[in-house]
Amino acid sequence: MNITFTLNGVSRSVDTAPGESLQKFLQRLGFSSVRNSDDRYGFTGSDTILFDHRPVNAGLMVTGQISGHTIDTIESLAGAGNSLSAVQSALIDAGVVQSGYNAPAAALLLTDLLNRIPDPSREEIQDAFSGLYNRATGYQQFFTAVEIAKSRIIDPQHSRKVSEEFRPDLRIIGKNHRKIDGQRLVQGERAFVEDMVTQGSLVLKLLHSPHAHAYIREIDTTRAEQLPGVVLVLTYKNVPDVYYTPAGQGFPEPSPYDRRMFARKLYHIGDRVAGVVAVDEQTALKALSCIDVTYDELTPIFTIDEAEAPDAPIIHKAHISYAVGAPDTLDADNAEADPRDGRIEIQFPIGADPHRNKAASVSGSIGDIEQGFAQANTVIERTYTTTQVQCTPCETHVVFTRMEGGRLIIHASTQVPWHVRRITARVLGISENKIRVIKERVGGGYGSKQEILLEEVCAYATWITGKPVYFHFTREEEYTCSVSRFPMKIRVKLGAKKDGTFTAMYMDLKANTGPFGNHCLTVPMNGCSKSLPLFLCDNIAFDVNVFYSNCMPTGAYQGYGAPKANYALQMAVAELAEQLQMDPLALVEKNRVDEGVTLEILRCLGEGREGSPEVITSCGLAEAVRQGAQMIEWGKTETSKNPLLRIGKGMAIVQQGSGLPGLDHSNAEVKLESDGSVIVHSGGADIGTGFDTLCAKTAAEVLMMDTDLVAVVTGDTDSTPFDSGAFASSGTYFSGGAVFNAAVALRQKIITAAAQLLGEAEDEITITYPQTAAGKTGSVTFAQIAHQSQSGEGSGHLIGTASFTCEKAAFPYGAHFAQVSVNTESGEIRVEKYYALQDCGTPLNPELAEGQIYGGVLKAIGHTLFEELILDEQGKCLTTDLETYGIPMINDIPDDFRVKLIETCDPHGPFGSKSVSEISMNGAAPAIANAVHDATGIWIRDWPITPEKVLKALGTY
Amino acid sequence: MIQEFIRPEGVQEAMELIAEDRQAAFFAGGTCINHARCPQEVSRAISLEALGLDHITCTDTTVSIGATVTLQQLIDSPLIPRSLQQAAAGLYSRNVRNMATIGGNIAAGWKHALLTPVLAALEAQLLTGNGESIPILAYEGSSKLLITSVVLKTDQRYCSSSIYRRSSGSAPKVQVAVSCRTDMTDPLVIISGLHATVRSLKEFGPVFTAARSSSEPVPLILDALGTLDPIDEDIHCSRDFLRYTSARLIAEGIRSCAGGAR
Repeated sequence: MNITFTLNGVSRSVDTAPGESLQKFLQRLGFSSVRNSDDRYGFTGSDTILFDHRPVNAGLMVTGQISGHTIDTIESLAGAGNSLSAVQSALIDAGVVQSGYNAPAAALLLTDLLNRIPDPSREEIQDAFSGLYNRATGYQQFFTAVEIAKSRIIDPQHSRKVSEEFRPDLRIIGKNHRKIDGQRLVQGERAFVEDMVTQGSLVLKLLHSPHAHAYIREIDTTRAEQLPGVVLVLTYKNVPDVYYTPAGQGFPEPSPYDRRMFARKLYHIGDRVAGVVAVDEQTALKALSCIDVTYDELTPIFTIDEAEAPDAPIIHKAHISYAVGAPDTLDADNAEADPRDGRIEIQFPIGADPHRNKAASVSGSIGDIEQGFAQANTVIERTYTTTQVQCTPCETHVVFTRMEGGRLIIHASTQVPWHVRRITARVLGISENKIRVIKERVGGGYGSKQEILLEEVCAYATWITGKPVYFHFTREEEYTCSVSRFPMKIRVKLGAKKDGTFTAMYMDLKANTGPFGNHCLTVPMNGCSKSLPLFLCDNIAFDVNVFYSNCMPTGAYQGYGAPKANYALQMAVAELAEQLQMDPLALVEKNRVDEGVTLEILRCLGEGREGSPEVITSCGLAEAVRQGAQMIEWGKTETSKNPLLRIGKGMAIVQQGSGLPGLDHSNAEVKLESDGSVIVHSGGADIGTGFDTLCAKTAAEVLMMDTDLVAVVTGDTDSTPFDSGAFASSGTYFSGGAVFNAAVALRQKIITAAAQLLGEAEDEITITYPQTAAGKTGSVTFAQIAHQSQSGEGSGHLIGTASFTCEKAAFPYGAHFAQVSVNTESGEIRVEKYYALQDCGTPLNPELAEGQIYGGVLKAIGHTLFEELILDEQGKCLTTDLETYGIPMINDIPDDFRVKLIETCDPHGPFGSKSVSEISMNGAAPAIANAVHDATGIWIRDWPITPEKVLKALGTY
Repeated sequence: MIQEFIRPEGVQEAMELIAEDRQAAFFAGGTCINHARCPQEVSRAISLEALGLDHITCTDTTVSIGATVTLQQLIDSPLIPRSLQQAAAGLYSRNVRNMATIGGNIAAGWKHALLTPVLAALEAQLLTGNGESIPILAYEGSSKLLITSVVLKTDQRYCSSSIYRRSSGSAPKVQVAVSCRTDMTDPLVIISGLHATVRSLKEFGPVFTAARSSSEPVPLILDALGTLDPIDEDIHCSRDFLRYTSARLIAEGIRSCAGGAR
């Protein structure tokens, strides 16, 4: 069928099948920014185009519809000389563009809005963006973008500070600054893995297990292999017999190696049965249906209670080995092993007992917990549960692998390029120098892309076939094969004297790691280490027990273990306050930590290594609490004109870490080019958070130059030095610290070279703006210094090289306040106000930091009120699309949503900075739950707080 | 998978084309047929685009809405009753509302029908391609029967539409439309979401009257809902909650009608 239509103002006549998806058609024509992230649900808006000047979803259209019509994509907004439109620049300046996967869609929607309504109301803005999914930054900054855009349409020079600025002693750091990759993202430039796929690449698809717990009795791939177009079929019979963990953590990993590329035993519905590599998706899918499999079904278990029952079915009846520290009982344990279950290789003792479904366990204490409770006038003991929730990045997991000169090239959407290389090399049995991982722009990760979930199998397919292979999870696969937050059951016992002084704190944390043990020790331990140290108490104890089950896989998720444990602890504190007849804020204030305090409990919480007490070297908690209480008018009773509405306020204090001291390691180099510009090479991974911008700002600040003279290369294992990766809130502190150190090292080399050129002592040389080394007798430009160093008489290319490791933790702190209204007839909860006050040390990128916080808080609000992975009795996930799962959208944001950055200066982080993103996840659940209690008197002790639970607790029906 | 996309230029031609092929379907905005959840295999799409069904016209007492009028056009038109606009806004995404049509929404017959309850409460009649006029609840979701327009009487009934969903973007769990004559007689209560098809509550008059004058109408309505077939299971909510919520929404609708909502 030939169709004629107008595309971005140009008449086009193109051959197409009439039923071809319009989204795929436009991508085929080269308009890569018209993306798919919901598989024809019309939910995310990644496929937004203007059809006859109205925004629609191309994924819900076929090409037959467009004949005679007009289509506009993001390219239609291009200004002269590749300039940005007012709307595009406004989105970047407001901080909206972070992962950027949906940035072109946002620009089209905002353009349409302002064309229709030059001065839109809040409701009209919400309506315009109703079809857009933006997990990264929430939606609050869209309102700022609208304000900027509508002014900039009238006055193209219009500018405004969208965020408070910090550090007047610095030129660039702490100031609003356009994200350096913002332009390419909002213009829809090829930037993501899917944009790198070459024509003719093979496609990899998986056959998933229909059973939650089973053995493959027989598998016959003959019919599939005989299909024309099928290149390779992978099963447990023909892949390397190598066990590994998908967790891209420090090495050696605390996570057990309990996963094989394909295994004979299947651990969850959706587990890998076979993989097909074929010439196209259609052929691959057809081949999957031709694989004949018979299964021996086993009884599945899904919950912590089922897993720890004495007669529970065993998930991993595998042969167990230890790299070091094997227990005495190992031989006896292995006598029970079933060969069909394969192996589990444990790197060092983590309290595992797989044949009793225990993936990990650990206990610790300081002081005398029993004596502490004996000293208390009041003791409470409560149990809280959290459900399984998902990261749901807009860009689902994706990888593209190809060969180049005998080497394997992996285009990855990952938080951990170096771990992708290490684990892939191990699985394939090749040396790391044979692999190059290129981290492309990442369309959202939030922890899930800290896992190696498809890279190794795709890489293996390429290594075997020599062909380029593309592997992209569907949205359903994202739910059933990716990772999610560990469900937890947390019992908290607190003791306090009459005046509220804590005498004892105990946390019994049980976690469900699902089928595999990735992060099984560290996520639950992190729950303890990022909640218990918020309070001062001489007697603290905890027990952590983690169980295997057949639910959907779990793993890392922004906040790690903290959101769950902090929910339990902060609620318990509020419940204790009620028992003590104290104001909950007063009880928090009486017991919370502050700067200078030594956190003794951390000696027991090393997350895979020996812990040590830490001193809090900076803490903005007092100011966060003070200002937050003032903003929300803590103590003032609010009433509604609607008699059905009860209004209440709640709060929670929060903390996180900044990377993993003693475990993480980052490296960077900064090179001086011959014209005086510089290039930063960092192994760190920008996953949309603005790390590349941070690199540019850091180098420019240290070297007294403008950021447009700084180019940044990150996340490429060939051209950058090693970095642990973007997880555990390490980006600013560790990766940024290495860039800072490298820039300082280059500055010193410049000073040395300038001293020689000027014939002065080094201590007489200062670096001044713009890129000049000045002495007493004169000055030289960086260009002159570079030219001299690179000449035959020079000292060689000036390169600052540095690493960053640190034994000191820089804890970010914060206080979150919520005001909710609870409808006592419907049970519905509306978050009217939410204020997140956070101390991230020096905010390096203020508007991006705010975006991180808005995004984190909204995710946490989603977990608190709506989101939930629901399995049926057989373990099949029933919430495999974003709509059913319950993702919050723009109309779910609080009516009054504010972020306030509390400035402190940490002595260890670059420019006094600390982490900012993960901590944002830790406050919403307890703050909202406590506000619901304040409004209604009920305690809801399990996520999510649904209207049905509220009504039941109120006794309404 | 659509193999053929045909644009007939008249209603008769469209009806002849649909009769030729079991896997043919009328195609308006495409948001249902192209949707991942669409259960129907369509190989031949009969586009309604050229049939001129995109009108909204009114007389003193009626509004006629062409089948290809989009949900966003319903919301934007001053001629459309508020209750129908509220129901159309139940489709959360403006992008999709720009594509989805009133005819397509009715014809899809999905469990969580957005417009059917309120249209039924407004006693809408569907004009079909063969010239018939049928009440909306008599339409059985056959993709072979061409809806050309929807006709509403606008002067005779108060009407209210309300919805329960877990989050703003999630699918509706329950949608309720309540209407009555302007003299508060002849109430209609239409519910979608509880069963595979839209249900009309029978003989609701006494309950309506009692509930209207009661300070606690929900228990009264809950009793009346006991006559409904067992509610379908839902993954998020219990049947008791859905029944209670339906009663609550009906009570809300009765209040709105009593207040003169259109």
